[in-house]
Amino acid sequence: MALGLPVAFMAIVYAYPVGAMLLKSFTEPEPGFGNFTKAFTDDAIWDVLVITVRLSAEVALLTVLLGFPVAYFLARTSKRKARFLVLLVVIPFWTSILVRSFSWIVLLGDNGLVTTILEPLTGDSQGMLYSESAVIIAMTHILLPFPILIIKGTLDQIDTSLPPAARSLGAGPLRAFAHVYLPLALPAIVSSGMLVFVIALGFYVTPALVGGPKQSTIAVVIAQAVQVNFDWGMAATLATMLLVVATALTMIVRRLTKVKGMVAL
Amino acid sequence: MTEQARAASGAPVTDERPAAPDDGRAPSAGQVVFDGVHKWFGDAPAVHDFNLAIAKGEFVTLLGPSGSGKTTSLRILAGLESATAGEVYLAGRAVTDDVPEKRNIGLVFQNYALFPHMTVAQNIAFPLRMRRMKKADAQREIDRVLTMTQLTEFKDRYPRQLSGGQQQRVALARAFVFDPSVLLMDEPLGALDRNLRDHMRLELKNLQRRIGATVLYVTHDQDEALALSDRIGVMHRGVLQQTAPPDELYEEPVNSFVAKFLGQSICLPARRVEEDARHTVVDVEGMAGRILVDRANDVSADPSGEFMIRPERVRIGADKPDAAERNAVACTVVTHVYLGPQIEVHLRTADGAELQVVVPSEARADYTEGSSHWLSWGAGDCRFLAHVT
Repeated sequence: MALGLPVAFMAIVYAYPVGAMLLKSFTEPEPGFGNFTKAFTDDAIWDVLVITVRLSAEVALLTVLLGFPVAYFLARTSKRKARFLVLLVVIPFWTSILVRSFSWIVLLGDNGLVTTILEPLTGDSQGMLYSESAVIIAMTHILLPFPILIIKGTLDQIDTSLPPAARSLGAGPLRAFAHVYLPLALPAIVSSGMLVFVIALGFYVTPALVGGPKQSTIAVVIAQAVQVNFDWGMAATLATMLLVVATALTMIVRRLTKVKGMVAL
Repeated sequence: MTEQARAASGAPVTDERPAAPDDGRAPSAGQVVFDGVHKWFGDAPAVHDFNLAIAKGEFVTLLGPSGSGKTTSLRILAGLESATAGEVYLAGRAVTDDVPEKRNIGLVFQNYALFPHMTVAQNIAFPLRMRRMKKADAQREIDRVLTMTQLTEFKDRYPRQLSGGQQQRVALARAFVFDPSVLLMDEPLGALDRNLRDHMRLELKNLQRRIGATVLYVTHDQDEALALSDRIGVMHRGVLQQTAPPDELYEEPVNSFVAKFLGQSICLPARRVEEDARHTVVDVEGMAGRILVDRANDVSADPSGEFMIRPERVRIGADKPDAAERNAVACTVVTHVYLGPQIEVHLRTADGAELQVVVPSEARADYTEGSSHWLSWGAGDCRFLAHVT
């Protein structure tokens, strides 16, 4: 009985739309695997899939690499300071993705701020807009709060006496970090990277605005299928492929990074 | 213990500064030596002129209320805190500027600080791994301490699968498996419940005797300190007040803080009036007449100090004792508190001083409110101490 309401809720807002979409990929325009054979034999679709996965992986890696030091710093400063600094992380998070993507167009465009600053170094006044770099920079910026907040949450739980304990037992600062601190932080690092990866797989606005035609992600192609080609079957097929890829990769990474002695995160 | 007995037993003499390392060599006085250690946190002095020498195999406890500087002193020895001034020596070597991992110290934390992602065996192996000990040698050492701490059957468990007492044993095993110069323990029993604490206390003492470890122990629990230690150093406001074997500390406190912190005591402000060959005569606030204190028990540098006596040394009777050398004071009972085997009698002198004594509870009928009694004690039972609050 207690479960009834949540189950009903999930059925309406999650299971039904996802199920309906999965179904469409097999039924539109005619029943069968036609959509899938068409998608798998289309080189352009494969390219899009590869670009999407590569972009997402790069962004996931970057956000984790940039986010961990910030989280480490936040976990080690006083509670009061940390609260203020976390606010600085969260405020951009509340700003619309659209606004943040447009900001990057201004910053990265021809004669934009970034280009102007870098000109003496690169000798190039052309902006880097509509390139893979631009998409990665913008997406990294937008998704960075996830790893920072998730990793900080775990680092806050790590007993502060563990590093000094490791030191007293004969480990230098680097080995204390590598053998004790990092293994305890690893589940959060991996799961936040996973989260960013999965969110990035479905990113639409940023690649569409900041990227060029070569940076068409699968979400951009899905939108085109619906809005330009009115091909609902192909859109559903691509969405299903996205779902399968995301689920499979998540499962694999989870299996690979089960940390012994730790409560699952 | 008399002075002679202590010298004969080889225990270090108290209140003695370690040999000054003027010639640049380490003092040979002990396994662990604190020499004039100071620690300031900003403007706040946390430890002031701390001097202590611990002999090899000795169990020394720093006892004091929280914030008295005992944990800071221990952390300075461990290298987790740096001394503002002074030197620390370990096994004859100055380690003041060494990083923690170079000091070869076994540290047991109050919360154990076990590594949650490692099994019991892996936790214990950690210090050996860090020392790059050969696998086979390490395994032998690990098996040895697992047996000693009765943890063999739990060696593949993770810390969170163990009880508090078992976790405590793992922390201990991990701290001494690499044969450290000294074992430091910061309230290691503090997180356990009462019964387990008493049990672990015994276990800890047995283990320390068996491995002959030199131990510096920190606690605020006086029962723990008395039961475990060869010597106890009482700390208060960053100053080591007195270092002595438990019995001496209880019987012969050097100031009123030590007297009040360890056990029950009657302490009253007093002034030294005169001295002769055998006695100091003091004027105690709230007690009429002259109170005699043995010269040997007069340890206050100042003419004003505190009169102190342990309640169990006070004899209580209906009549004034006639022995000339016995101090006697008339009192009336204010109230009494029933404590099972004993009752605690609260009394007031004619001049308004309040004091408490303990008597066997079968005599409780004699101590009704308002009844009069004579308290008496010998000059050798009471002390005249420096006043330290």
